[in-house]
Amino acid sequence: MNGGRISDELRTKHERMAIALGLSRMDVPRDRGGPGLSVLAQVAATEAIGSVTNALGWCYAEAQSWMFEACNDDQVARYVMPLTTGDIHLCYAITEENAGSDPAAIEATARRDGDHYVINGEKWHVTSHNHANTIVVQAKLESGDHCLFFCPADAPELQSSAARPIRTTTITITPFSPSGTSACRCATVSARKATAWASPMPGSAASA
Amino acid sequence: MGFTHAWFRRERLMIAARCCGAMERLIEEATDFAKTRVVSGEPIANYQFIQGMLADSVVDLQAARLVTYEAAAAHDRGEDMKSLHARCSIAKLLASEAAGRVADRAVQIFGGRGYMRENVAERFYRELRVDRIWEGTSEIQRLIIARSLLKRGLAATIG
Repeated sequence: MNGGRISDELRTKHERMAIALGLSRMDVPRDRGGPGLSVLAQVAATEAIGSVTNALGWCYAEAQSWMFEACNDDQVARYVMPLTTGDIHLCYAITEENAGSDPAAIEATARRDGDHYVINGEKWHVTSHNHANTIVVQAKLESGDHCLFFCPADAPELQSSAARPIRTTTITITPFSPSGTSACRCATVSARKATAWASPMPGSAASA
Repeated sequence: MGFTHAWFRRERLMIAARCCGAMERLIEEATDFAKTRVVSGEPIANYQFIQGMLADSVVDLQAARLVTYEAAAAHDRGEDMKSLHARCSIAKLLASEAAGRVADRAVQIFGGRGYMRENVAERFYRELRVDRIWEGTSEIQRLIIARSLLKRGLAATIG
């Protein structure tokens, strides 16, 4: 049982195998050098992964087709394509203590500061944060629009409760910055790039 | 909004796909066990209560799998985005709820063994629970489906 932990050696081996099989680039469009698989084919492959549990199956990251529309060329080169080779490991910091099914209620803010944004907020349930080197953070701009940011996981201002033991599920409860008291400077996100990610949210997740 | 919704659609559809894989594994494992586990002189697979649980699980898998495949094929056919959104919610809701039932029955078939941490049914029972929660809870999926129905009608929701 190993306390629910998968050893680093085994995790790396699984990731290499998944990448060699092409799983990390299944959804990369053909004009970006991907296989341009049908969604049905991707569902069939993902179904097979489900038979070994999420915990073992989620050994790789994938570049999803929508990311190529949301990101500019620089972001695609720095953050999206490296997902397919295992050089970038993402986690998603969206949920907050008071915003889950209603993401419109998030309180994290992103404020322009010269070439950068300063993000203030506390995020919960950041799955696999302990394996990530890059965090996708959702925050509210001063305009009120919501935006996604790439944020380095080793940003010095960012506090994480990574010391919390990871138990047998894939989920960890991880408030990584005390609310309103610590800023995470996203040195890699320029205003122009962030605009490319601008993603105004609907009134609630239930809006279709 | 577009990107967030595209993201949700993919994650929900792939949750449904993984739930189908999990159901298949659980049915295979529970069936193999039921054929070999002897109680009162008979493999428990010979008992109709066990057969009923296995049959219901096969029905759950078949329904969820076909709905999930159809939702995927609708993407490949390039159907209306709003309809795709509702179909991904339908697949996610159906498959994650079905997987929960299948895992629960698998634990029951394995009996005390199914409650032990090293057992496949225990692991899936615990892990599959979150598929009814993340990327929109089952309740949120129902709201999406209902709002699509009320706004655009049945045909525009499921084709």
